[in-house]
Amino acid sequence: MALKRRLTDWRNRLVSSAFIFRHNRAGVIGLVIVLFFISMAIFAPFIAPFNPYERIDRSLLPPGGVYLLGTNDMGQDIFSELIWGARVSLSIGFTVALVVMFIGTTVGVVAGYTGGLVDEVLMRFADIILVLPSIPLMILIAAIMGRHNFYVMILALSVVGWGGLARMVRAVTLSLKERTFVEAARALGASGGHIMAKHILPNTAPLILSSVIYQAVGAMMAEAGLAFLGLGDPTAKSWGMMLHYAQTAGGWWGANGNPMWNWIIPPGLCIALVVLGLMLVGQAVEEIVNPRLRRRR
Amino acid sequence: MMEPLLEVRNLRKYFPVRGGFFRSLLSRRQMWVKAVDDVSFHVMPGEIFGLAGESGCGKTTTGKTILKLIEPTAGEVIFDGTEIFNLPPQELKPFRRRMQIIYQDPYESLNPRMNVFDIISEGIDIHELAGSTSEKEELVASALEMVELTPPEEFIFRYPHELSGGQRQRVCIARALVLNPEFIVADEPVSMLDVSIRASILKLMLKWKEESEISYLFITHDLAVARHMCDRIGIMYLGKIVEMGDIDRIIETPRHPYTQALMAAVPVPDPTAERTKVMITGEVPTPIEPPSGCRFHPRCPYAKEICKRETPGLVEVERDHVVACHQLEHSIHL
Repeated sequence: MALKRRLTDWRNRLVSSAFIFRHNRAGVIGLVIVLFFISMAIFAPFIAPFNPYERIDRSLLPPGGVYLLGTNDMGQDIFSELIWGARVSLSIGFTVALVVMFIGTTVGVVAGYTGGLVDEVLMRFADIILVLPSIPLMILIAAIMGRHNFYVMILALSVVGWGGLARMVRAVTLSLKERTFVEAARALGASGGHIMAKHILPNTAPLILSSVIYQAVGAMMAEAGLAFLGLGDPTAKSWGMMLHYAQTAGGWWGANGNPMWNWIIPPGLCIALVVLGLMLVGQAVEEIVNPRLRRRR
Repeated sequence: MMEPLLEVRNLRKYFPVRGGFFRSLLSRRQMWVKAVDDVSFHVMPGEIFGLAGESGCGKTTTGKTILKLIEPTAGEVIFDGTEIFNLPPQELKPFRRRMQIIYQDPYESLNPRMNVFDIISEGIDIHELAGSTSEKEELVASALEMVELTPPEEFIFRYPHELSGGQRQRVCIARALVLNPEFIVADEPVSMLDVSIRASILKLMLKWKEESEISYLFITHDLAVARHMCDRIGIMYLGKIVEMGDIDRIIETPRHPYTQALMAAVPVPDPTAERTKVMITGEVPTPIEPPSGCRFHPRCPYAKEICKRETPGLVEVERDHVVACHQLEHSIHL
């Protein structure tokens, strides 16, 4: 009985949140964009007409005909590359966001609730992460740990990202732990771990949600940047990687001295669109979480 | 002679004052807020002991420090023969079940993200009081019935924002009662509630006192409520107990000028009634640098030289009635 009731609770909350969300037109547009790219990533093998890692024709063919966006310098289908690229870009973005969320909230809640020396040490780490310029740091990590690896990429991006979230979660924790219901839990005999898990964490969740969406945005942009600089994993083609090859393998000059817009524009546009979509969703979520941002209607 | 259930001895709680940067340059001396300064009292089994006084006199701090929700500065608390301040956390835990607290503000003391069932069953889980889920459900339901939130199934899955202030306070009380405690610190449990709800909650508290022998430390600023509820009372002023003893004796023949002033401030329904007036002027001084000697002397109409110099101790004036005042002969004529 209890479980069933809990499920309906969740459903009700979801429905009412969805109702607010629906009235945010920008948020809905953002969600449509994001969902479009997510389904593109999921169904890539069915949508893409060719294998993007296979040479299928002459190189640098113009768009049109069988190859919607032409072929690249290796004779691979650009349109298929683009569709498979959604997979790599999105999975890096979301994985990094999850890892950052995990590290950031854990560090923030533990530092804020425990206080004292633990707080000092953890926050100095966060400060170090925050003050180091992130791009060189990522390049350094990628270079040291082997630069052509998907997981190293995720690690580098995560290490750089958690500082801000940890600081924010800590701040919220500091105010939450002074609330009477936390003291009441201590009076019940609850341990520190129990209070952090049951009383602090759930109350930081709404805040974390919107910031995780922004984290995903940051991670995808950073991934594109790193890949463009040639630090990506060449066996996993992302949009940033496509731009990198376009840059290094002559996309700007093409076969006859003209820039190959069919090769350069699509990946850049995809990155811009996903980022835009996520930003719009993030803002809408923020509005749900923080009613003060909500416009009266 | 019965042993007291709870004995508080020389309890002190000083909070450090954090001055600004420039003040720390000017003086090296650490300043303290002496919120609770040398407070001793005891609570017998099945007794309601009241703590009354103005805002900021240290009533709430005393209550929370006794439960070790605030780290004490000095003193000891003996609960059922065991000194609890020096216990390691694991050994303190069983005492957490036996000593509970009800807060003043029912809007702050419930986690907004937990429903009534989760709130009340939390203590059951922590102390492993239920062997099975159905047993747990039964305990929660019976706690809700005790606080008269019936039928329980109508309330069990509600969230705090779906409850009224009175209902929330009942949930807070049920959360404490489900642990079957022997002692409850009730920190102004009805001061934020409607008058209509107050009476029923106070009546319930008295009922549990009779039926389950629960003892209370009843913190209040309302002497009328205190008289209705308490067996004995301590009057606090600036972190010290100035008068303590049997509630009727203190209300009928208050001996400390401060208690007399408090009594004079209680409204009387009969406009023609003769009233003794002890007027005190001014505000409660800051507890950072409390007045020397008797802390009440700057506001006391009877203050003499000695009051400025020496801190009066608690002196027994009759059976179960102690007062801390140098000028007792004045007050007796009132």
